[in-house]
Amino acid sequence: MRNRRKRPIIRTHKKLTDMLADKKHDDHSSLQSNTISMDTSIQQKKETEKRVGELSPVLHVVVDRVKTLLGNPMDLIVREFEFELEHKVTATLLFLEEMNDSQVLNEFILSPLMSLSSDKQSSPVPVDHALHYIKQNALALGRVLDVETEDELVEALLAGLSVLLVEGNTKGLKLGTNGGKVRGIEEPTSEVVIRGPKDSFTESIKTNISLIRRRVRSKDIRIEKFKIGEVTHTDVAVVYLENIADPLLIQEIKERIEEVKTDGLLESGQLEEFIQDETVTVFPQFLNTERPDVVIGNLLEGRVGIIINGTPFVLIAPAQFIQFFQSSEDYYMRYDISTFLRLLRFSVFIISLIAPSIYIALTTFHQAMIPTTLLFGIAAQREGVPFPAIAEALVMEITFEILREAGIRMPRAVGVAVSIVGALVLGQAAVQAGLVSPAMVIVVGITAVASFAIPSFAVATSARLLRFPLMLISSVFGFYGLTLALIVIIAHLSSLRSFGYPYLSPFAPLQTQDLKDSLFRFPITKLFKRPEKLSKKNQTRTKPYSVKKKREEETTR
Amino acid sequence: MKLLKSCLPLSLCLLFLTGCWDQNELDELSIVMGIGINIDKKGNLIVTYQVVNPTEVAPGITGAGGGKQPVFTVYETTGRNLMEATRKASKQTSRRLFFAHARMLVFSEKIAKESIYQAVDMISRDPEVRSTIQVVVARDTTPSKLLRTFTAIDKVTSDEVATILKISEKNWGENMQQDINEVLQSIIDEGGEPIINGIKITGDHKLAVTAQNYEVGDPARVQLSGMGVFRDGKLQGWLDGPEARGVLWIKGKLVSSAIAVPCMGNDNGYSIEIVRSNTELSADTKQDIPTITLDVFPEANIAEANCAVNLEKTSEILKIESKLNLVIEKEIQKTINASQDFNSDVLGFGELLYRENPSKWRNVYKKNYKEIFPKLEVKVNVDSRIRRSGVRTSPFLFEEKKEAPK
Repeated sequence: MRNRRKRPIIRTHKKLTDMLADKKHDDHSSLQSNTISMDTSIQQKKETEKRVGELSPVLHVVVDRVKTLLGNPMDLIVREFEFELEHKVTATLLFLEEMNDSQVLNEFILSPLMSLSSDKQSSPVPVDHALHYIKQNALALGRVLDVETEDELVEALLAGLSVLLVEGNTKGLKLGTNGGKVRGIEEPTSEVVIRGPKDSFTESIKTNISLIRRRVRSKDIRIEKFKIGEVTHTDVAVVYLENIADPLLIQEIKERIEEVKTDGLLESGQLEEFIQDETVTVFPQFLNTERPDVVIGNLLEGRVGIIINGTPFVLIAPAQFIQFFQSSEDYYMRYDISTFLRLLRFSVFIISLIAPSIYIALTTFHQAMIPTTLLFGIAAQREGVPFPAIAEALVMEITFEILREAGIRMPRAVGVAVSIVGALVLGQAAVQAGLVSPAMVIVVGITAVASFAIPSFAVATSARLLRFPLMLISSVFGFYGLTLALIVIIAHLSSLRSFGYPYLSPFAPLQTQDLKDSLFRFPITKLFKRPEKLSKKNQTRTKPYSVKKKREEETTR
Repeated sequence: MKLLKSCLPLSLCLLFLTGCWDQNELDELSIVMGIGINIDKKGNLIVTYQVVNPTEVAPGITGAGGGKQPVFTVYETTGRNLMEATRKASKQTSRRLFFAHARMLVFSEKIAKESIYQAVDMISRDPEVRSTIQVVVARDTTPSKLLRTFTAIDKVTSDEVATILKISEKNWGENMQQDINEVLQSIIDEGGEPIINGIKITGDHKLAVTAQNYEVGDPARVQLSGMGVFRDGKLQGWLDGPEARGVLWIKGKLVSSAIAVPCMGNDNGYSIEIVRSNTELSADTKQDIPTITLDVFPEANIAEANCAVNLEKTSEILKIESKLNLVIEKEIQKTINASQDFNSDVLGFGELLYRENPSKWRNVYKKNYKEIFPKLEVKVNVDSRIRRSGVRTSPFLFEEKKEAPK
């Protein structure tokens, strides 16, 4: 199984490298080919680079070199200054503007260095010890590391660090002064809850990791870093709890992430497409969330979070089908209403999937199943509608999809106009023009509203896509075809795996313990166990608990 | 893989080339609500279909072109058998006749007297027609007239008749719903015969078939009228009034009714409302002529008391109970006599005998049941209970008499 799953990834990877290797012959200087062709020449190249790339002790040589490497960008700031040790020393601070916190640069680097004077020193410091000395005495910063090669230097600059070079030294210092403007922590936009934490992830991976860290004060939390994207060098972090998560799962996730070779990674959706088990499916195999509490809830169940720099959407793997109908709020509200809402959401999914198909099948094949009075009503509405039910349904559904797409893309000011036109087009005007029957408008309306009630956008999309083939099938074969199509969908769902974990669990295969937190949510005092397959080594999550009702006895006595 | 790739488009074509043989858009269907069957002099069947015009019946919204059209229209065809007549209807209607929502099957008295056997098989065989379709006989009129009659409340006649049957069975108990299944079952039952509701038109027959029937204050109406007793598929006669109610007593189907009981010289002084009833049947098959015992246990309320009687006394209540027993007993006995006169076992006694003693039924009774049935001895025991007397105990007449000076 595992081999079969992996094969496509490897194959595409090979193809990509082959392609690039071919390209390399024509275009040697390109950065892409330089970095991606990691096959054979890479080892030798690295060695030569190391010899060539060593930092020169002469300052302006290094600065010139950096400028040519980066193409002399306008945001590269080269600040030359002097400070006093044994005698005056020239130094240069290099950084990219707006990626660094200028206040930190001024207060903790420039000002202490410039105020150094030989008087204060107990013994004179030679120039070649200057770096060590200022690191120990002058730089009031947490992250200060050595830089030895040009490549390192450039990388540090691009990562938003500042680099301090001192005349006469073959090393530099990279300083953790990164900052600049990032979006602050705001309320989540795609997963709004009434009760529950109101913070959400941002585009910065550091903020995101800190949001998780702040909530889980466990020494067992592991955050492992990867870099993906030969051009973008996007930071990717895999987060899990060492004492709960399955080591084999973590190994597989890491392997799959490492195998991704591409030029850039802008959003978690791209990584999701790379590392998912099955490409030919409409169902999402990762949960994505912008809520830290959701990530932590899943970590506690033995799942793994994948954070990608530059997007607030964090991936959670492995995902089960039932998870897409659960909301974090389910655990914060009472269990009874949570269970009700979960059942509601699931039925809403079914409605948004098959409501138009049922309407088509009923009105074109199984008129006998409609109550007589309702049949009169629908028949009267159909009177004078020129299209067959399937055409009517398709027209309305597609109109709705158009409106929906337009509504997303429209500037907010125009959005209102679209919704008014939409309401009129979809509703009254279409009916009055005799294009569609009022019952069809209701069916489309129900379907549309239902698809918005599903908490996960990803799974709502799969219902949205599957709706159309189902409509076609039920217009040709009626309920018979619809039933067959649903059987095929269920068969497909049960064949899906997310990192080897059955997509339909805990229903298929049946895991009775996990059923307690699936379509139903049992009271929290009864949820003792973590998901069976996910956390084999650490199953117990809650100890049996019962309230000691001392007060009640006292007051009734 | 290659094979699969080449087969895929072909199989996709298959999906859309099948032609949807049983697909029908709703506006291509004529929804038949009632079927009427008559017979002409040559022995051909005259079949009448009552088809709804949904635009006129639909609640609220009227689609394009709603106006003054009748709520239903009637097609009539003749054929040597039912199927032929049904298919011939396509010569008159632009749409396919759709039978799944038919609620009423009317036989004319003429065909009922000749034999209903020729017309019931297709109705019960056709997958489209529901087995809950109510069977009735048009009494003193023809199915074609009945199906053309405009009714006021439920706008489609067949709908109205089916609903009347349901409500009347529940509240008055002189008719019981008989759908096609029950009719066939009573024919198949050992020695059994069907009993079918009669329906007639009251008022101005000419006015009945015009839309004006809605507008006049005294419209022609359809009305239930007795139950027809059959023998060998032929209508023998009618049970009316209390005789018809007796059938429900015996079959244990009586849900509720009102019975007049004499009181202090006033023959109809009390009106007793039956609220539920239970019937137990047993048979003694030792003799050649079996004896059947009927135990009826009705529960009742006093609905009316038009005489000065002290209902606070238990003895009075017990008196009423015994009088009620007598009345019911008479009613049932009358029904039994009538059905024995017709020599038609619509009461299901044959089935009872078969169940009590299957071997004797097969060997002795079955062969000459036609002779035995009229001689059957039936003992009727009624044990009624009066439960409540409404929101007052003694009638105002009693209170008045009590207070009057002696």
